[in-house]
Amino acid sequence: MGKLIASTQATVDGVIDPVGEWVQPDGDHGDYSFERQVRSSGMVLGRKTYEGLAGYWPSQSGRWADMVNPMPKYVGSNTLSGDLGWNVHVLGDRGTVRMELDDVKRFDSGVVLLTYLPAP
Amino acid sequence: MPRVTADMTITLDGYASGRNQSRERPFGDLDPERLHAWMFDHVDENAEERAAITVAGAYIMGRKMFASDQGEWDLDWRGWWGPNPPYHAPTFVLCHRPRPSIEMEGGTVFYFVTDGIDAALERARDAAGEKDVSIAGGPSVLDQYLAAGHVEELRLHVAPFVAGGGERLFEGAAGVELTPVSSRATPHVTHLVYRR
Repeated sequence: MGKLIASTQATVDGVIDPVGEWVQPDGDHGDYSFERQVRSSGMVLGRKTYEGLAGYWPSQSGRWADMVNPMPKYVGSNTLSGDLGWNVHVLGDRGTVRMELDDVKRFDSGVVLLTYLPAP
Repeated sequence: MPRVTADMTITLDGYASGRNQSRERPFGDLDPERLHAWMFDHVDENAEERAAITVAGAYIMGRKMFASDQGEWDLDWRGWWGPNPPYHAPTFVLCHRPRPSIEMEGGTVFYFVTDGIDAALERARDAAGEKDVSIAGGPSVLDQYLAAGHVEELRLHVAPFVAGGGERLFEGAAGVELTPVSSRATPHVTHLVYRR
């Protein structure tokens, strides 16, 4: 069994969106989240997060792009369908991953990243 | 050099108290035993953090942490803290209506301060001498001291459940920036320490 891990940055009063200067994409935290992400077997995303990432990463290069671009993305959406490329699998009634779409919706936000991670 | 410190237990979503406070339920809809389980049910594993709460030489709290009364005081009632409150030091209660001080057993004396947070802090500093002053709560009083830049060390104790509503810490402290000092996770609470 894999584990579903939710990982996000937040201010001390719990705000995750909109992101501001408090987000730390580099340094120790950047290394930490890269290591966590690179050990995972895919990313579970809300539709808005997916659209944000899909509009950015495919044209990038570097260690993050090399990791994110080929990785399977499980996207919770009632409106997306068909072959979206970028290794995207739309979750829903025909979900690729057995998980409640309600849970995906509940956590959906611009910056929440849910990661589907196989147990070590 | 004595400091101004503050300890507060909050839920995972940042609530320090519930709505609908009453004399029977100081924390309103929020279950205080669940919130403070780390403090009362898991004493040994949190001994250091517990001890740090009570080393201050004076305390400051809001009226709603002393009593739920609105308007005129019920002078026959001496608050929630019982005959021997855990503070064992002068404790300054912020309020709008004056009231004579109350001397409790064990060294706690409640003084009622009607001229604002700065006046209360000045009196608490005098009373504390070489010891720290601790902002005991509740969340809106702590917010006021945070926003005014008075709190030098903030110690949050995050209980691992989501309350979903109530009185939230930081609602009145937008823009406050703190430096993380330490964090320690236990099975029942996560302790976070910040400095100004």
